[in-house]
Amino acid sequence: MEDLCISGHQVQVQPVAPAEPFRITTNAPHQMNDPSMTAGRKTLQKWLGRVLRIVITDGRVLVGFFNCTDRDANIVLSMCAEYLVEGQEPRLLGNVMVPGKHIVSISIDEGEPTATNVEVA
Amino acid sequence: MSGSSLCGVVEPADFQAAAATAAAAAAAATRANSSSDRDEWSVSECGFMDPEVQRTMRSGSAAEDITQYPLRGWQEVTGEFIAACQELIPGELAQDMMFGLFEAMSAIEIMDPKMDVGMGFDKSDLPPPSFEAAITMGVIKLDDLTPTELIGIFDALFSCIVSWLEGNSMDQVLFTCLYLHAPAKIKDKPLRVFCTAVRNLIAVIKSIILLAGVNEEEDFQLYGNSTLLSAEKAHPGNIFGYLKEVEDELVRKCKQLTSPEDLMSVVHRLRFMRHLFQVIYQVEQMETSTGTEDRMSEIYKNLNVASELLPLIRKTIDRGTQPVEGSEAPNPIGFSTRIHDRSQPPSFPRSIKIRDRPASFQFLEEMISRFKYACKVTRNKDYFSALNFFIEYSKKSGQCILSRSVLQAIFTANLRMVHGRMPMKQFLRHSVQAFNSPPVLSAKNTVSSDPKVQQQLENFFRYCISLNTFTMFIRICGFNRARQRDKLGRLIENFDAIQVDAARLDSFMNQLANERAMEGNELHATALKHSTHFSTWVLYNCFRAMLIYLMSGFELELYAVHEFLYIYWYPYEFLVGFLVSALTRTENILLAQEEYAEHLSKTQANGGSTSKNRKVAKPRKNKKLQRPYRCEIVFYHALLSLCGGMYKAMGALTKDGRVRLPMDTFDNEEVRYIRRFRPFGSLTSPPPVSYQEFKSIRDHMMLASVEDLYSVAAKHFDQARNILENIQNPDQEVLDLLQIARTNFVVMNVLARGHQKDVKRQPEFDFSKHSYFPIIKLK
Repeated sequence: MEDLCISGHQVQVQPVAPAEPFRITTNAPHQMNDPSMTAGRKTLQKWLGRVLRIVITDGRVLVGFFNCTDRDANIVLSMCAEYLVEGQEPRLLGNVMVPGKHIVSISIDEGEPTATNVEVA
Repeated sequence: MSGSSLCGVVEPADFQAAAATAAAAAAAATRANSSSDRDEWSVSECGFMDPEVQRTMRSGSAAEDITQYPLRGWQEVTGEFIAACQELIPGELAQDMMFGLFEAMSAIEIMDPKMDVGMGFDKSDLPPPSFEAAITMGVIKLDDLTPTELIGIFDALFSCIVSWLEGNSMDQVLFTCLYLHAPAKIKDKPLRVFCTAVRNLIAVIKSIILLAGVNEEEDFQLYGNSTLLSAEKAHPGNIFGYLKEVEDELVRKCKQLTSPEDLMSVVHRLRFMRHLFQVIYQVEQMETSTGTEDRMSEIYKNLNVASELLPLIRKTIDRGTQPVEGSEAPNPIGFSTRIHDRSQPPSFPRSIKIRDRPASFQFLEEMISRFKYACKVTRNKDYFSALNFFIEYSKKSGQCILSRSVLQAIFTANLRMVHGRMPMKQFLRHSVQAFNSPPVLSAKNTVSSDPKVQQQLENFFRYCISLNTFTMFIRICGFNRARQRDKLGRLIENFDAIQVDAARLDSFMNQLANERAMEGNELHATALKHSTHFSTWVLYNCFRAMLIYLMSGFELELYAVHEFLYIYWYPYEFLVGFLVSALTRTENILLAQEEYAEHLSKTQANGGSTSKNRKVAKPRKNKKLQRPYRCEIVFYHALLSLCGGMYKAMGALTKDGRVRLPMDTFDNEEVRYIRRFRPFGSLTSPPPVSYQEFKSIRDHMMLASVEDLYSVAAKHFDQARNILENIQNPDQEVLDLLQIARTNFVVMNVLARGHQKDVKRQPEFDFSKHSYFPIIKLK
């Protein structure tokens, strides 16, 4: 596990200060239960690596693994599938960056398996 | 926080999961073991840690799995997500631990007009019509096309072919033409045959380029819609028969018409296609079968007819239907521009500009003449002249992938024809003989049948082949100009091993010569002596690779002006001199052998009729042999003076304060120097020159006054001018170099006399005349 921590390591020792020039919030194990983390960061941290569904301004739906985001909610998805019409055959795009200004709605594949499945069905 | 209620919903799950995995988490992640805080969750619960997700993320086929989501159900989190993002400071990223620079750089930007193919989609838009859809919609005509319509479609298809050869994806250019999707269903005969020909042409061209293997991703898109790529049922060998048949029918029709001009233009296009197809097809056949000689003359004939037809076609472009203003389609009927957009790999460019018709025919015209030029490669029977040809060809025709591939095809086919089953080894053997004619390679000389000698020679040439250096050098010249440099860098390192082996072979021959001399076998001893044949040959080729490598940096605009000094210094001080001495040495060896052979023949045949015959033949042969490398040597002398001129000029300009130097804090000249000459570092011969050596030589030069330096540079340029002026039948390159030498001579003289003494502006270096040497311009 040590080798996976490298990217986040120096971040962890840095104090949480708004004046900090460069900061990364990641879901690397050592950052998982950092008590100094704000609630929003914790939420994002938890969602990283999950599957997101993003509807954008021209009506297309993008489904992919949530990889990265920033203050403006620009979102990077990996293994993204693009649906012109949901339910029809998608086109597979790979890595995409969705600019925050084009995002209409975001959903996450989550919830209690039983309850949400019933809800969707 | 707007999404706090949602948070509440998920929390119990957190607790459950935390409890369930408590033991495992405690063992796996020591940091997570103290979790009792309400807001915390265990590592195993994080999306990334989900074994299911991990498995899909890592497996190659994961992309298919994304379509199975949602596994649990979509839960709208827009507000919460955006609110959470706003907690991040500017520049802060929330990123998955597996997310890195590569993922960031390879992401395509949604809603970017250049990258996003799906952009501009409207749910009410009809999908781009396929062939069948176009028929039912009635937007495509299958029968009774007018000559005007035919010309329009044919010309548009030629444009598509050209755009494809320029590196675009065939799906995005060629197969936007619906007629190409199902040529068999077209009822109009000329159109059907033409489209079938195009389909087959694509397959044949692709095969030539694949076999030649000098393409890079930026030159040529090999892949495309595979179902369309498989050639139509028609065998490519029958295509020109079909084309001929249609042509004849149309010509008969023309005779009945009062104004057959339009129809004749159709015939010209069909005929051009027939000859072009024949050329391409013959080239491909040449690569796989024998009978090269007949094929070459066939190819040449077809090329001539094709080039005669092109002016006729260009004159009649306006007889066809023209593309609609503002439309992406190259022709009003038959094209469905965005039909393959969604099947393209996501990183492909969204929109492609197809070449306009006049430019496309110009491209074809130039391509035909490039093919003609490529055919001349068959005249080069040895490595020395073949390499020269390839270097020259690359300079003139390096931008067209098909021309380059055709050259490779003709060359290898020709090699096979001349040298039989073991072409490259025989070719190299023959080449060394042609280059400096070592007596051991001559079949006439009895020493060549010595098993020891034979064994050594066999080993050497086998080594050359297994290292692949010589073959690679020729192939590298087939790549596009920008890629050559990189490949040459690696090739140069390869030369070292061959140099060592060649030197070993030479010393073996010398040793054997001594032995034979001791034995009293004078004939063998003389034949084996003074043999630096093999190492000279290897070194000469190595020097050439080095010179091209170094000078190509100017063409690719890699060097900063303040670096010019050492770049020109190296060939001035070493490389070009080495080349001259290698060639001079070779000439001397040849002359010595010639004399010796003369001497032998005189002693062998005392009078008699044979000597009489020989005398008649000799003078001509002698003349030819006397100075076989004179042209090259003279040219290199001119290069030497030009390099010297540039080196001294750069020294003078630098000392004069006219060259912008990098700021000291950001500069390390030694690092740059080492980097520029890195590929040479691994060679034993010529030995690498350290930065310190260079520095001391330069410092010594810089001791002279600025004026003196300028006038020394002027002298070098004057010398170059002198040499170049004396070259008979100069080609364009010599004339260009001459102009450079003249102009720079004047500029250096002006500067030596103190012109613009107070204006310390950096002069302009104009490489437009020659890619290696600039004209120095004072502003």
